[in-house]
Amino acid sequence: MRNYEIAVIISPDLNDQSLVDLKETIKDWIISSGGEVALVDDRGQRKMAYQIEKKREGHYISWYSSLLPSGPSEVERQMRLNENILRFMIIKSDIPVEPNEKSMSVESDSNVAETAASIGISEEITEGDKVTEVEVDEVSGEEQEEESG
Amino acid sequence: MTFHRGSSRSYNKRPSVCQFCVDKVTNLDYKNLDVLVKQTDPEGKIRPRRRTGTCARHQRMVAIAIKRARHMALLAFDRGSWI
Repeated sequence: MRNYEIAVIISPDLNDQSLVDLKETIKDWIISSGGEVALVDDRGQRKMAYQIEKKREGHYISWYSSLLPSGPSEVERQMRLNENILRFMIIKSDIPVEPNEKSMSVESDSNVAETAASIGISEEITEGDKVTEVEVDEVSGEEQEEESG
Repeated sequence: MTFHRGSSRSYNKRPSVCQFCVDKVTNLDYKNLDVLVKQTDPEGKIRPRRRTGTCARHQRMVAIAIKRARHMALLAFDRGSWI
Protein backbone atom coordinates (compact mmCIF):
# COMPACT_ATOMS: atom_id res chain seq x y z
CA MET A 1 0.00 0.00 0.00
CA ARG A 2 1.27 3.38 -1.01
CA ASN A 3 -0.10 6.84 -0.27
CA TYR A 4 -1.53 8.82 -3.14
CA GLU A 5 -3.37 12.05 -3.72
CA ILE A 6 -6.23 11.69 -6.19
CA ALA A 7 -7.02 15.23 -7.34
CA VAL A 8 -10.14 15.81 -9.41
CA ILE A 9 -11.80 18.76 -11.11
CA ILE A 10 -15.55 18.17 -11.31
CA SER A 11 -17.85 19.99 -13.72
CA PRO A 12 -19.53 23.07 -12.16
CA ASP A 13 -22.83 22.26 -13.93
CA LEU A 14 -23.68 19.42 -11.55
CA ASN A 15 -26.37 20.11 -8.98
CA ASP A 16 -25.76 19.48 -5.30
CA GLN A 17 -27.29 16.01 -5.21
CA SER A 18 -25.40 14.64 -8.22
CA LEU A 19 -22.18 16.18 -6.88
CA VAL A 20 -22.65 14.26 -3.63
CA ASP A 21 -23.44 11.12 -5.63
CA LEU A 22 -20.31 11.51 -7.77
CA LYS A 23 -18.15 12.01 -4.69
CA GLU A 24 -19.65 8.84 -3.25
CA THR A 25 -18.98 6.99 -6.53
CA ILE A 26 -15.34 8.05 -6.62
CA LYS A 27 -14.94 6.93 -3.01
CA ASP A 28 -16.42 3.56 -4.02
CA TRP A 29 -13.90 3.24 -6.87
CA ILE A 30 -11.06 3.80 -4.42
CA ILE A 31 -12.42 1.28 -1.90
CA SER A 32 -13.36 -1.35 -4.51
CA SER A 33 -9.82 -1.26 -5.90
CA GLY A 34 -8.59 -2.26 -2.44
CA GLY A 35 -7.69 1.20 -1.17
CA GLU A 36 -8.54 3.26 1.86
CA VAL A 37 -9.51 6.93 2.01
CA ALA A 38 -7.61 8.79 4.70
CA LEU A 39 -8.74 12.35 4.06
CA VAL A 40 -11.01 14.25 1.67
CA ASP A 41 -10.00 17.83 0.88
CA ASP A 42 -12.94 19.63 -0.75
CA ARG A 43 -11.69 23.04 -1.84
CA GLY A 44 -14.93 24.10 -3.45
CA GLN A 45 -15.65 25.79 -6.74
CA ARG A 46 -12.94 27.96 -8.19
CA LYS A 47 -12.04 29.80 -11.38
CA MET A 48 -9.64 27.80 -13.56
CA ALA A 49 -6.56 29.31 -15.18
CA TYR A 50 -7.80 28.23 -18.60
CA GLN A 51 -10.98 26.74 -20.00
CA ILE A 52 -11.52 22.99 -19.93
CA GLU A 53 -14.36 21.69 -22.10
CA LYS A 54 -15.61 25.29 -22.49
CA LYS A 55 -15.96 25.65 -18.72
CA ARG A 56 -14.31 28.45 -16.78
CA GLU A 57 -14.86 27.10 -13.27
CA GLY A 58 -14.37 23.76 -11.63
CA HIS A 59 -15.00 22.04 -8.34
CA TYR A 60 -11.68 20.95 -6.81
CA ILE A 61 -11.60 17.88 -4.58
CA SER A 62 -8.65 15.73 -3.45
CA TRP A 63 -8.79 12.28 -1.93
CA TYR A 64 -5.72 11.39 0.10
CA SER A 65 -5.71 7.63 0.16
CA SER A 66 -3.56 4.52 0.22
CA LEU A 67 -3.89 2.26 -2.81
CA LEU A 68 -2.65 -1.15 -3.87
CA PRO A 69 -0.12 -1.23 -6.74
CA SER A 70 -2.99 -1.96 -9.13
CA GLY A 71 -5.14 0.83 -7.65
CA PRO A 72 -4.07 3.90 -9.66
CA SER A 73 -4.68 2.30 -13.06
CA GLU A 74 -8.05 0.98 -11.90
CA VAL A 75 -9.20 4.37 -10.59
CA GLU A 76 -7.79 6.10 -13.67
CA ARG A 77 -9.77 3.83 -16.02
CA GLN A 78 -13.02 4.67 -14.20
CA MET A 79 -12.25 8.41 -14.18
CA ARG A 80 -11.70 8.50 -17.93
CA LEU A 81 -15.18 7.10 -18.53
CA ASN A 82 -17.00 9.75 -16.49
CA GLU A 83 -17.87 12.90 -18.43
CA ASN A 84 -18.43 15.05 -15.34
CA ILE A 85 -14.76 14.72 -14.36
CA LEU A 86 -13.02 17.50 -16.29
CA ARG A 87 -9.48 16.66 -15.20
CA PHE A 88 -7.83 14.35 -12.70
CA MET A 89 -4.36 13.58 -11.42
CA ILE A 90 -3.08 10.72 -9.27
CA ILE A 91 0.25 11.50 -7.62
CA LYS A 92 2.34 9.92 -4.91
CA SER A 93 1.83 12.05 -1.84
CA ASP A 94 1.96 11.82 1.90
CA ILE A 95 -1.21 12.51 3.83
CA PRO A 96 -1.02 16.10 5.08
CA VAL A 97 -1.41 16.68 8.78
CA GLU A 98 -3.28 19.97 8.33
CA PRO A 99 -4.78 20.04 4.84
CA ASN A 100 -6.01 23.61 4.87
CA GLU A 101 -2.77 25.15 6.04
CA LYS A 102 -0.91 24.92 2.74
CA SER A 103 -4.01 24.59 0.63
CA MET A 104 -4.92 26.82 -2.28
CA SER A 105 -4.04 30.47 -2.04
CA VAL A 106 -7.23 32.00 -0.79
CA GLU A 107 -7.17 35.68 0.07
CA SER A 108 -9.26 34.97 3.14
CA ASP A 109 -6.61 32.90 4.91
CA SER A 110 -6.91 35.15 7.92
CA ASN A 111 -10.69 34.57 8.06
CA VAL A 112 -10.21 30.82 7.94
CA ALA A 113 -7.64 31.04 10.71
CA GLU A 114 -10.00 33.10 12.86
CA THR A 115 -12.91 30.71 12.42
CA ALA A 116 -10.62 27.78 13.14
CA ALA A 117 -9.44 29.41 16.32
CA SER A 118 -12.92 30.27 17.52
CA ILE A 119 -14.92 27.23 16.39
CA GLY A 120 -12.42 24.42 16.25
CA ILE A 121 -10.71 22.18 13.71
CA SER A 122 -13.82 20.17 12.79
CA GLU A 123 -15.58 23.33 11.64
CA GLU A 124 -12.56 24.67 9.77
CA ILE A 125 -13.14 22.90 6.48
CA THR A 126 -16.80 23.82 6.12
CA GLU A 127 -16.13 27.42 7.03
CA GLY A 128 -13.28 27.59 4.52
CA ASP A 129 -15.56 26.25 1.79
CA LYS A 130 -18.20 28.86 2.45
CA VAL A 131 -15.62 31.61 2.25
CA THR A 132 -14.20 30.33 -1.03
CA GLU A 133 -17.67 30.01 -2.56
CA VAL A 134 -18.44 33.61 -1.73
CA GLU A 135 -15.17 34.70 -3.31
CA VAL A 136 -15.79 32.74 -6.46
CA ASP A 137 -19.16 34.45 -6.80
CA GLU A 138 -17.54 37.84 -6.46
CA VAL A 139 -14.91 37.01 -9.06
CA SER A 140 -17.45 35.71 -11.55
CA GLY A 141 -19.59 38.81 -10.97
CA GLU A 142 -16.67 41.10 -11.79
CA GLU A 143 -15.90 39.06 -14.83
CA GLN A 144 -19.44 39.39 -16.15
CA GLU A 145 -19.30 43.13 -15.65
CA GLU A 146 -16.11 43.30 -17.66
CA GLU A 147 -17.58 41.25 -20.44
CA SER A 148 -20.75 43.32 -20.64
CA GLY A 149 -18.81 46.63 -20.47
CA MET B 1 35.15 57.20 -30.01
CA THR B 2 35.06 54.97 -27.05
CA PHE B 3 34.60 51.28 -27.44
CA HIS B 4 32.83 49.51 -24.61
CA ARG B 5 34.39 46.21 -24.05
CA GLY B 6 31.89 43.44 -23.37
CA SER B 7 28.18 43.88 -23.75
CA SER B 8 26.30 46.85 -22.40
CA ARG B 9 23.38 44.63 -21.43
CA SER B 10 22.53 45.01 -17.82
CA TYR B 11 22.00 41.90 -15.81
CA ASN B 12 20.73 41.16 -12.38
CA LYS B 13 23.13 39.31 -10.21
CA ARG B 14 21.84 35.96 -9.11
CA PRO B 15 20.94 35.83 -5.41
CA SER B 16 23.68 33.90 -3.69
CA VAL B 17 21.45 31.73 -1.49
CA CYS B 18 18.56 29.47 -2.41
CA GLN B 19 15.46 30.80 -0.66
CA PHE B 20 14.01 27.29 -0.36
CA CYS B 21 17.14 26.11 1.45
CA VAL B 22 16.84 29.04 3.85
CA ASP B 23 13.23 28.05 4.57
CA LYS B 24 14.26 24.37 4.84
CA VAL B 25 11.62 23.24 2.33
CA THR B 26 11.48 19.45 2.04
CA ASN B 27 8.44 19.02 -0.19
CA LEU B 28 6.56 21.49 -2.33
CA ASP B 29 2.86 20.98 -2.97
CA TYR B 30 1.38 21.94 -6.34
CA LYS B 31 -1.48 23.66 -4.49
CA ASN B 32 0.91 26.09 -2.81
CA LEU B 33 0.21 28.84 -5.33
CA ASP B 34 1.68 31.71 -3.30
CA VAL B 35 5.14 30.19 -3.73
CA LEU B 36 4.70 28.91 -7.28
CA VAL B 37 3.44 32.20 -8.74
CA LYS B 38 6.66 33.86 -7.59
CA GLN B 39 8.63 31.25 -9.54
CA THR B 40 6.92 32.16 -12.81
CA ASP B 41 7.42 35.24 -14.97
CA PRO B 42 4.51 37.43 -16.22
CA GLU B 43 4.09 35.16 -19.25
CA GLY B 44 3.71 32.15 -17.00
CA LYS B 45 7.10 30.61 -17.76
CA ILE B 46 9.18 28.96 -15.06
CA ARG B 47 11.85 31.44 -13.95
CA PRO B 48 15.38 30.15 -14.49
CA ARG B 49 17.80 29.40 -11.69
CA ARG B 50 20.11 32.19 -12.82
CA ARG B 51 17.35 34.69 -11.94
CA THR B 52 16.02 33.20 -8.73
CA GLY B 53 19.14 31.64 -7.22
CA THR B 54 17.28 28.41 -6.48
CA CYS B 55 19.53 25.39 -6.02
CA ALA B 56 19.30 22.46 -8.42
CA ARG B 57 17.45 20.23 -5.98
CA HIS B 58 14.77 22.78 -5.21
CA GLN B 59 14.48 23.89 -8.84
CA ARG B 60 13.48 20.32 -9.71
CA MET B 61 10.78 20.45 -7.03
CA VAL B 62 9.57 23.84 -8.29
CA ALA B 63 9.42 22.61 -11.90
CA ILE B 64 7.42 19.51 -11.00
CA ALA B 65 5.00 21.48 -8.80
CA ILE B 66 4.41 24.13 -11.49
CA LYS B 67 3.76 21.49 -14.14
CA ARG B 68 1.27 19.76 -11.86
CA ALA B 69 -0.46 23.06 -11.10
CA ARG B 70 -0.71 23.75 -14.84
CA HIS B 71 -2.28 20.35 -15.44
CA MET B 72 -4.93 21.06 -12.80
CA ALA B 73 -5.62 24.52 -14.30
CA LEU B 74 -4.30 26.35 -11.24
CA LEU B 75 -1.60 28.09 -13.30
CA ALA B 76 -1.78 29.04 -16.96
CA PHE B 77 0.46 27.37 -19.52
CA ASP B 78 0.67 30.65 -21.43
CA ARG B 79 -0.59 33.88 -19.92
CA GLY B 80 0.31 35.80 -23.10
CA SER B 81 2.87 38.57 -23.55
CA TRP B 82 0.44 41.50 -23.36
CA ILE B 83 1.11 42.26 -19.69
